[in-house]
Amino acid sequence: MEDDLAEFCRQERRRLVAALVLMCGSLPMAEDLAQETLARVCRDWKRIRRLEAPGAYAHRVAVNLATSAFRRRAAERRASARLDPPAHAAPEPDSATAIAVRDALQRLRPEQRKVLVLRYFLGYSVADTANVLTMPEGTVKTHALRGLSTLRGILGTSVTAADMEVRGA
Amino acid sequence: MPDIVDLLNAAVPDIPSESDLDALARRAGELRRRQHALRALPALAVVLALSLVAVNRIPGEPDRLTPIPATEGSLSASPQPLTATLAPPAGSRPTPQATGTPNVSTGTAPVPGPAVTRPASTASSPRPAPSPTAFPAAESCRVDISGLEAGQSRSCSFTATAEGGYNMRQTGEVAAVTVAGENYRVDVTRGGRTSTHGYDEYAPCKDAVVEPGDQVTVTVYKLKENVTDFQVGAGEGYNCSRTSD
Repeated sequence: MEDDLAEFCRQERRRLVAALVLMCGSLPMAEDLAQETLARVCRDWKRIRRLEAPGAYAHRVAVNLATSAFRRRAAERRASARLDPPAHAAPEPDSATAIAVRDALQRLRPEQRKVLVLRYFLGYSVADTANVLTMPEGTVKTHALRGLSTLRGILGTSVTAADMEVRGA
Repeated sequence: MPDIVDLLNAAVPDIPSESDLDALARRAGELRRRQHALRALPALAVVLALSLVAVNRIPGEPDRLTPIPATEGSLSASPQPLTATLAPPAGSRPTPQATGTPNVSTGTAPVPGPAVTRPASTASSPRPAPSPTAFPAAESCRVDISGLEAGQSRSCSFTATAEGGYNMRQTGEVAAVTVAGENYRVDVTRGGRTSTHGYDEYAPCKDAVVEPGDQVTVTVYKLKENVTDFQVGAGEGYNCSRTSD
């Protein structure tokens, strides 16, 4: 593997896994998706290395793979709910805040979750978020506002963002 | 009040730092081989179509100009109606969704893309070369992989009468990953130039890629990894906001 590609993979992997954990709620799934994302980057590296922002390309691929994963998990949940009783998940060795926020994120609509992760975790602008998610900028802002509002309702506290504020009741 | 940035950062668990670069390289190789195999299929379709034309020619009769598919990458040809060369598998059910009747074909090769006509012959009784014909007019079309075997494809084509985009959606109940970027493509020909969406872009949808007058072909490929059904539609009403039929 070429040195610049290996370096790119090392640098981007943690950020990808972290963003995908927030989007999917599962560390094993996030690691699988990140690995698949980087494999596609490796396959197309000759073209991607010339892009202005190869990292943004990787994030776009990751978001699309995560979108497929959302649909797959929704189908799995419907299928297993008919066949098996719900199983209790093994407790994760994480803080209560981490678990609460990840749980709250999973209750958001996928579009809202993706917007919040891209905007406020990966630090994308509204325009760049709109470009990655192929949606209008106005839709990005709407998803962000509604996502923050829903998080407020779930977490029971007001949640601020640098560019907007959602107040408690 | 907690800031969303702090909340999200606090929500990230400990992530193992090691990255298996050898496994990455192996998986990249698998993806590259699959991509090359899929891209070679249009050339095979050309060979197959040429062999069928040779078999059908009757000595002594004027040349029957059968539209033949162009090789992938041809940007100057006008689109032609697709010719189905292979019988559809049992149980296949293309679902064109349009006011008109889009062409729908099924085969083991992907849609060969815009077709060309051969020049008129210079025989002693000259006749004008047939003019290119466009796909049937329609607002949209949609195809799915239901009933296809691994390695088969299904396509639909239309001449757009309205603006639109495209949208891929899984429809099955059983979980499986749709290999975004390799499971489907949407070819849009405008002014003699063809843009291909979906195949290498890993985008499950896009708004505003179709304009009235565009020649549009939607192709889906059944891969062995696909256990669940999925569908791809293009044209009016197909965009990133669409979540159901």
